[in-house]
Amino acid sequence: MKSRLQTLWDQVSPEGGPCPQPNPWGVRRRVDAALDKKRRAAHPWRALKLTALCAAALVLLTGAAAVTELVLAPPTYNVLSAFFQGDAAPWESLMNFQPVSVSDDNYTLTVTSTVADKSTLFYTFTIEAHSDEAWEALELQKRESFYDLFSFRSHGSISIGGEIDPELRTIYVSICTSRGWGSSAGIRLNLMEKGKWLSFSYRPVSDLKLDINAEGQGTGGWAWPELTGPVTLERLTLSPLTLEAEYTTEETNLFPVLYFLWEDGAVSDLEALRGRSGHGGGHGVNGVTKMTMSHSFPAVQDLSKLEAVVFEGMAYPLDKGEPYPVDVDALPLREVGP
Amino acid sequence: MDERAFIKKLNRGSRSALDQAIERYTPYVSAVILRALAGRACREDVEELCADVFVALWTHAGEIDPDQGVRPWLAAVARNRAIDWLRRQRPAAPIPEDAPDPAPGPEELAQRRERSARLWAAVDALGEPDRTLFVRYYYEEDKLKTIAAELGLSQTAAKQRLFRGRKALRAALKGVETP
Repeated sequence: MKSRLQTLWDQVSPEGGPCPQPNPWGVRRRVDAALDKKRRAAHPWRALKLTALCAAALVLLTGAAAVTELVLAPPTYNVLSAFFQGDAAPWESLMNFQPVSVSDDNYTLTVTSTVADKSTLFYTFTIEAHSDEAWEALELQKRESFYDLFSFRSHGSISIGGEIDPELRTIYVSICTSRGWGSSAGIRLNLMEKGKWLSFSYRPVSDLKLDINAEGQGTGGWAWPELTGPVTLERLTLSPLTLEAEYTTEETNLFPVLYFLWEDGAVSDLEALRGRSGHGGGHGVNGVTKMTMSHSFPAVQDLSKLEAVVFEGMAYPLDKGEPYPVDVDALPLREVGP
Repeated sequence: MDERAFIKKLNRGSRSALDQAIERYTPYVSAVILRALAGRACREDVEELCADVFVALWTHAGEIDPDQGVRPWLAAVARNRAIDWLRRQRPAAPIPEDAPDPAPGPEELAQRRERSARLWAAVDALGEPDRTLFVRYYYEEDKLKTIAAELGLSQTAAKQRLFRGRKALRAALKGVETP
């Protein structure tokens, strides 16, 4: 969504272009990078592992034989560490990190890790420039519009982020997108030769569906904190990565007010459940909008420890047992996270 | 969640509270920075400075007083960061005429800063209450209802002032383009 200043800028500035106000996600990316740098400085072995990953990727691309040992070392920068907080190690089995790549004279594009569920595909890739000239062209285009560097196949709405390493002439990119049909996707670096597409497949993790079919309150969340109104929640789909809600509402910025009830008796509220990436939309039916919205969790979730989802004072057990009343205000609140 | 509860969460070192702070206060912090720089900054500059402010917020998360609110703290740090940044700026070296394929980077950024400064100056020249109305509505992204009430205007009157102000800004900026 455009910021108000961008709207004003578009209306009154004869030259157009980006207004001076940054997007919060751009700020957040810089903050994440700064905090990550601090963390790495405090734990230098992590930086060494990252360097090892880069070396492993490069060696893999050249087909050298002594790769096996390096590949066995789990990379620090992967799709789980890029999108989720906390220690990704317990969840590595969900990921595919077999690299696939495509090259031309100037660049190599490599998908380095993927993870997906029913609604969302997350993946990371690297762009390596083979010469200083190719790196400069890449930097120039990146400055103009990072997003326009790429073409996509089988992608929906896209969130994109990245980090650069000028010394290795490499950009590390992370993408979250709503999934299309099938379990393969494609990406192209538009600076590469015509026809150079990188296709890759992925394996969605299993999910769990809960039929709710109940009326209750919706909230505008942090973006619209004063917005509340009724919603009819039909179904939830949970995976360790995302929460998807299907519901009807008259106000499209509302999301059902949900709580997670954990087996230790603590609850997590919506503020703690919704992570950085989300997508979805709705279509009108008889004056109300049927919405399907997905949000990533801030950290990968162990659903085996989740007892129930609470909506409008009723707990809906994950084992699909009978719903029962629960007073969330009387239970200890905890954050979803590491 | 009200601001007090949010600050308590931040005090406890909640990363999701930091993310929420960035989401919620980026327009406000940007506005403080642009005011301190008289608008002479492009998006990249403001983004970098905003990030500095939020990293500082994370570093000092335990020190924010829930009774004081987070805005005064953010404003003070944002102003200081902006002034430090201004001190560090040096005029760009001229680009040689025979330089091959001149990189648009610094030049383009300088133009963007100039355009931003022109818009800020035009808003500044609107006079009160329009200046405050524009800064709070467009730069800080406050609710129109709240701003109008605090300025003693009806929402309709505030909308009319925004409409007339946009026309004035368009004319002012066009005037700069075609002297």
